[in-house]
Amino acid sequence: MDTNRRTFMGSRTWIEMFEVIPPRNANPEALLHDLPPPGFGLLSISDNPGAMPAMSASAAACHLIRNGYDPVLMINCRDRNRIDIQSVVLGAVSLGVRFFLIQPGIHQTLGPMREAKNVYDIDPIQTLKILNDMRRRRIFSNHTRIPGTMDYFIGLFEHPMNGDLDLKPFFFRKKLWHEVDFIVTDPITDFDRLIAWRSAIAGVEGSERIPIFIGLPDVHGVVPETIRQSGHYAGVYYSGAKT
Amino acid sequence: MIVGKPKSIEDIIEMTRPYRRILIVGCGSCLTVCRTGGGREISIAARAISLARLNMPGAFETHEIIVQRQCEPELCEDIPAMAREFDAILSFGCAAGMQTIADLIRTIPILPGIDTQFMGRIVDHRRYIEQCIGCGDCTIDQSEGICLISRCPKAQQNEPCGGSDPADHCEVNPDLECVWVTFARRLGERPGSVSISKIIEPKDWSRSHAGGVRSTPAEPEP
Repeated sequence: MDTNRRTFMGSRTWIEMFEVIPPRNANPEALLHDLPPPGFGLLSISDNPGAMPAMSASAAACHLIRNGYDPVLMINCRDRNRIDIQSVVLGAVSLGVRFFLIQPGIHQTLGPMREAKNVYDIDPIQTLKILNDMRRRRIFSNHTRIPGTMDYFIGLFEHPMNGDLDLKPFFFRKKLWHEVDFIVTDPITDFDRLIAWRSAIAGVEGSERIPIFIGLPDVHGVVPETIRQSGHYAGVYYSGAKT
Repeated sequence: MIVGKPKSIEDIIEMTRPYRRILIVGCGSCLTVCRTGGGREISIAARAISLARLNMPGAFETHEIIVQRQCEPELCEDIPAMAREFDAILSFGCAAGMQTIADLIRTIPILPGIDTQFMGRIVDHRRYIEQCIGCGDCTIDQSEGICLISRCPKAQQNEPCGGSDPADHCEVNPDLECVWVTFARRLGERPGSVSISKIIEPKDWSRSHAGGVRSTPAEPEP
């Protein structure tokens, strides 16, 4: 296991990450209710899941940190332009957030507020580039200098279940190029397809060092032991909702 | 081409209800070609309004005219004189055409008969598909001649979003193929292309409508 993977995973060998859906109200108790105790794994906080307003992921992350958790802050590109995304990162890091997970976000016309206008200023790979420049080069997207240092991990989604497998290495390579730290797959419903996808990206230099979390549709999902023991995956990601 | 969709006849009847004499102006360019604002369509609208008004009190009159291009003031120069005989103008031009007429005639209201939709092209069975949002920063040279901004609902420029269905249809408009599938097919037809490997940088949206209302530089008089 090389440096990046060790750094991200610490001493843990198999990490469980749970997607937490923030409440659709302003009550932090609704967020904290029924959560497992801190330290068991990671909690990712959805960003307006289902294209429906919820407690902001930043505020939810703040509540989780106060209660001893180490949240993964999800950022969708649907609701935020590059100014806001960079602002969210600064604010979240100031609160103690160490993990970000970028996604395009479900299209608002598929949610209950279809009349809303979307943003889609930058896509997840462009967002990765900007967030990487903020921590490595200490610059904003317009090359303005950011005083001080910041360190955090950036994750993106992969989509093993659909699309042409021959093209997957190209997309994976783009993520590696901008120093993605971890990958979460869409919910896996066909593990043979997951294996085929993993084989497809195996030729991408550096792919072995990136922790990959196998997405599962819900907390009842199970990863076959052969896949778990294969050494190709860092853990599992239980989806709470498709966002 | 600019593609428009006629407003529902119910909306048009409601919009025109306060007026007795209505001049209906079609457009002989884009909206004639996409069969929403040409002679046939404005005749149908006129007949529908007339029928609806049969049961309403008071006299009612419509007159139809086609302008070759409503967005050119020179081609609309006959309309102001005609408009003196009417209470309102119902335009079947695009928003640019309607506003050109509104600039020329300020004494009576301009009513939109069309919802202007997009810049597109015909694909099959006289179906039009959006091809451009006028971002002002064309990069189709980097994506096999495909505009990923207008043809992907999430403007994904570096990879597909993963939301397409098993038949590779877009999750937002299942009538359409995911544009990344189209992209992949083009790659297959052009061996050696490296466009799939390129990381497309964030777009400069200041060149689009996000940067303010755009205009071309004024040309000096000849």
